[in-house]
Amino acid sequence: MTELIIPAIVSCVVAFFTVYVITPPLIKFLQKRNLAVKDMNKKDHVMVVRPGGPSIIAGIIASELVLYGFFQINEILAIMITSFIAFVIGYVDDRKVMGGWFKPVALVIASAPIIFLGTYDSDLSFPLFGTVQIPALYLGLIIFMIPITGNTINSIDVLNGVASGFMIIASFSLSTALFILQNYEIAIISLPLGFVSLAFYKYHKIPSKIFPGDSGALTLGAMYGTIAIVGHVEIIAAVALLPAIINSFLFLSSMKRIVEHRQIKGKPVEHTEDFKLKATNDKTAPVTLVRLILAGGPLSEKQVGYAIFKLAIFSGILAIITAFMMRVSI
Amino acid sequence: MKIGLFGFLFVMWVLILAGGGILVTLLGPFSISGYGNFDLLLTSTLKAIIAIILVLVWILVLSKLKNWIFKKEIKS
Repeated sequence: MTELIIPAIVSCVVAFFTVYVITPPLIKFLQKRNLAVKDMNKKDHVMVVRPGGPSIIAGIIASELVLYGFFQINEILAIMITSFIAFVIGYVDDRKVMGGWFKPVALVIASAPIIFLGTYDSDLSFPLFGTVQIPALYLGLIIFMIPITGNTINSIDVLNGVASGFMIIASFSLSTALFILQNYEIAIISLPLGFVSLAFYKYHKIPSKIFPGDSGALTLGAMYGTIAIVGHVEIIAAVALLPAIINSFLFLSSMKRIVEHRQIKGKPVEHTEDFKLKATNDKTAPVTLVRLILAGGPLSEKQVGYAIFKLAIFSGILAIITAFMMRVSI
Repeated sequence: MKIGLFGFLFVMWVLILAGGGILVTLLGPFSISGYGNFDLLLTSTLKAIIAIILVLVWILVLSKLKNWIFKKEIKS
């Protein structure tokens, strides 16, 4: 255990400072090239640059390379390659508007390294009840897991700081669960995700200086999904991600199909005169997590963000309880 | 934001735990024999079908719960 402390500290420092240092020049570069979009939730005409994906992937690759120097295990390679493929898919979508089908289908390719590197175990573990062996089904689970986690994080990236802030809470909950389950190597490998998100949050929090874009959100989501598979903590990972899963679930069950946000005509949320967010009565608009949070009355963007973080903390606690329950068998 | 969303999260969590219990108890000891080389394939396929049905039931239950919880939430 003590021999793991140095790799853990070094990789976390590298993860944090790579993003912390790279993001300001990336913001300047994107400003020069005029790669900015309007922040829809601001009263004035505020333009915010995107995508922040390049600094996020740089932090992940740099920190995981450091870890690979300490332990040469395929799990690290799976995380790096899967995250990188997800980044490329997201970057293509950032630069060129693709159809609603593009990301889910393309992200299936991102799950290939997990299968080819053999970094999975076909036993699915459940709290209290033990494990079930499902070899054929598990392959399907891997193929679906990365598109689901990638798109789920992407779909929650609707307000300043929410995607990165949510990922800080979910990933540290997942790392804590891995430590509880004494899966120390994977726990350490998972830590850079939290530190990368933490460093990016500094620039993404309200008022955002940069948006992660599809490349950033898909990279974070794909890395999270890969950690869940290689760490054999799929159920715990799903529990920690529940608020974002609810968002996707509500969206899909109200729209009844996979569709890009920009293709939707009905608006789930509108602005009051003092530019607070308010749920609409538009029946053609999708039901989303933000819309439900606003069902009780108008709130500022910051208040909605904090409400999402409270839900994330609640599900993070449930995830940690689930990890303790994994050690109990009835 | 009232108790609705936290309640929905909690119900989802309980359903995951219960679903896991059903999956392990139902699918764990389940195996088909007597078909030679196809035993493993048949067992896996049937396990996959049962698991998918369970997931669909899970989604259906959540969908009903969502309507029930959030209609109350919006009305209040």
